[in-house]
Amino acid sequence: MQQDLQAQVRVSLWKRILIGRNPRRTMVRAAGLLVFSYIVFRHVLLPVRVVGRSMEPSYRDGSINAVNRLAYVFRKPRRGDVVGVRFSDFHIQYLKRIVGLPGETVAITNGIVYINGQPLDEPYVKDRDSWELAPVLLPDDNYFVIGDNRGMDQRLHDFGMTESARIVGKALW
Amino acid sequence: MKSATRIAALVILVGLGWLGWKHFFPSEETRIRRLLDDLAQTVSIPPGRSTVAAGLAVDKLLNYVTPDIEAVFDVRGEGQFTLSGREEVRDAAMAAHRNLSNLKVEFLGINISVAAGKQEATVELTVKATESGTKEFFVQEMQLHLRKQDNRWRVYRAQTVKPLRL
Repeated sequence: MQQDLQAQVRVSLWKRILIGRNPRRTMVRAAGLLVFSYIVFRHVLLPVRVVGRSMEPSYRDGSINAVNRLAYVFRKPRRGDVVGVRFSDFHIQYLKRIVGLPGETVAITNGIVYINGQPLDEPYVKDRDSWELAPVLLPDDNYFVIGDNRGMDQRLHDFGMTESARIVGKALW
Repeated sequence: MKSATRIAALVILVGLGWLGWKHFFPSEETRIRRLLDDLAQTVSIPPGRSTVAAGLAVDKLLNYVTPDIEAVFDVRGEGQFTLSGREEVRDAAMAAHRNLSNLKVEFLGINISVAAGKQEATVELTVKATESGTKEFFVQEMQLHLRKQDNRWRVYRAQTVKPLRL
């Protein structure tokens, strides 16, 4: 009889650890957590894994980040923001830094970015190769994005202007 | 209870009928999606594929394109190149099979727009190609233009779309 009582106490303790004192409340909480996680990680914060070296040293190949889709709900993208630029598939994105804003002229001479003829101060760039780009006038609603790794071969680095509709959000860190 | 059972049975029957209708009378968009699924499998290169199987796969690939196919690719580091006609597509596909031991190709983010007459369609998609055993992958956004010939959709033009333009 004492053994039965001990068995009952053991079952009750395990049950409490696994599903709580009130299973129904636990299920409601679990369902709420699932819905919340789905909404946040599917529609607000998109987890991303960085592939490639074009944003080094700021973001290393294989590092994890998240793109905040709500970053530009109340304001427009700004120079210096690191943003996700989507392909037709929403979950494949470039991670690049905005250096040019709509209406500006962007050029690169000997690795230095010029905005409307003025050199841009870029403290996040640690290494520069002698990149060259003839002046590009950005149309309305187009931003110029580029990676931070300017020491790599220019031909292997994707950069250029993109419409704001392709900008998914801002990197979280 | 009897009426509830009847209603449930009716709902199930309607559901099955709707699924059957969708399967046997698919919309043009569904037909194009199935074609693209098939095309992605056809252009993939499974490991250990024999030369004969590669030849058959290339022949199957050519059935997805019109004789006057024009494909314009712009690959980072390689520049732009164009394939015109089935023969050039065949040569490029055979070269891919010779040089690559395995390749998994997926078409993601597919957006299909069928023209009013349902004889032409435009597809935007992202091609993702991965060599198995590696984490690295190649992505390229493409725009495909399709035409209906003999009640079958075929690609007559394919071109790279660059999310970042200079």
